[in-house]
Amino acid sequence: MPRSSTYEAVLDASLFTPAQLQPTAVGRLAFQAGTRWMRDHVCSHRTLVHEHRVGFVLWSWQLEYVHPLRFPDADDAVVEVTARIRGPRASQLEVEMTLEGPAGVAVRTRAASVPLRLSGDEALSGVPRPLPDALVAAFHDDEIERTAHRSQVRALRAGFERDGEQLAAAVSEFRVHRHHCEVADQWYWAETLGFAAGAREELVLKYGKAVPGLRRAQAEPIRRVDVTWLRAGQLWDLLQVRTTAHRLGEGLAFVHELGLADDEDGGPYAVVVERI
Amino acid sequence: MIVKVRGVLLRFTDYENEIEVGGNTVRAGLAALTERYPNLGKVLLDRTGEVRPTHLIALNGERLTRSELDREATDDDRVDIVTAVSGG
Repeated sequence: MPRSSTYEAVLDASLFTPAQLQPTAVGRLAFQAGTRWMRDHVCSHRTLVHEHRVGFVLWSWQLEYVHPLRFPDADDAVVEVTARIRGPRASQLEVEMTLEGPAGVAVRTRAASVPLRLSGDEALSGVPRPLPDALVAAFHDDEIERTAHRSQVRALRAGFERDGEQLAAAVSEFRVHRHHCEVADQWYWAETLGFAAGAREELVLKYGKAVPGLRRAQAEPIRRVDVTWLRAGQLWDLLQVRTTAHRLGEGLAFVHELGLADDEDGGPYAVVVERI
Repeated sequence: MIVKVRGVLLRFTDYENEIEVGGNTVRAGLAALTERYPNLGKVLLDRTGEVRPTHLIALNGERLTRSELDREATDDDRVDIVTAVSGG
């Protein structure tokens, strides 16, 4: 049986929208959960970085809202987290977290990271490498899966474009400041969820009168978020979010492509898909 | 030449992101830069003085290999130093 870590998270108002847990808050809880699992069963994050010279960079994340959990519903929730190595050459770490409230599991997340071999400099620069054998040995057999994690983002986008109706599109800009970053002055991945959510709200503000259906995106809870990161934003980068809103059946979806504002040909840094 | 420093390296240049340096080649420009900012040198260069493979160097947008750092550079040229990813 894969090992898990289970603990209580105290809930406060900052974690919530009126309807549900904030995606950025879930991101932070999920990162903390993965860090805790590693500390409990492999080694601490600090030890990983400074002694093993191994880092992880997130490239895929899914958030699914399952049962309702709003601020008035509970004082605390139970977090359960598991982790496993994935890929034919131990090229990914996958972490799954559930957060359970009185009605059952409120959110379920799955994160896939790529291990980096750090060069040992103070900037924590690194290059992707399979996880070293010494660390792989700390995982049990049933925590090692040879197949690779696959991101759903590309297929989702293709589905919206093929089967959906585009309702609106907009471009917004933001700069990466230090409070958006982790210790190496590189964006903290959970902040990209906030940049995407901000871009969605700007689009609703701009087109909500002309396309009233868009205002559902502000009134109703998010059902699911899928993200893929291709490159890392860094301190003081000016980034652009290209957002499109789609209707697909009864559902509403927003696709946010984040990239450098002054390098439109450089390709996206991240793609965030929110489904309402 | 103008050296552009981004993101994770800014704290090693006292938060200057466009730095004018002398030198006739990219390598000479980088040497002048790391002499001015020794802490950047510790991050950018390995023990042999070569650019670590975790950082990319580009001349006017063209990515250079280590062996291409002797390319000529004039006052108007732009050199970018990019750290692709850090692992925190």
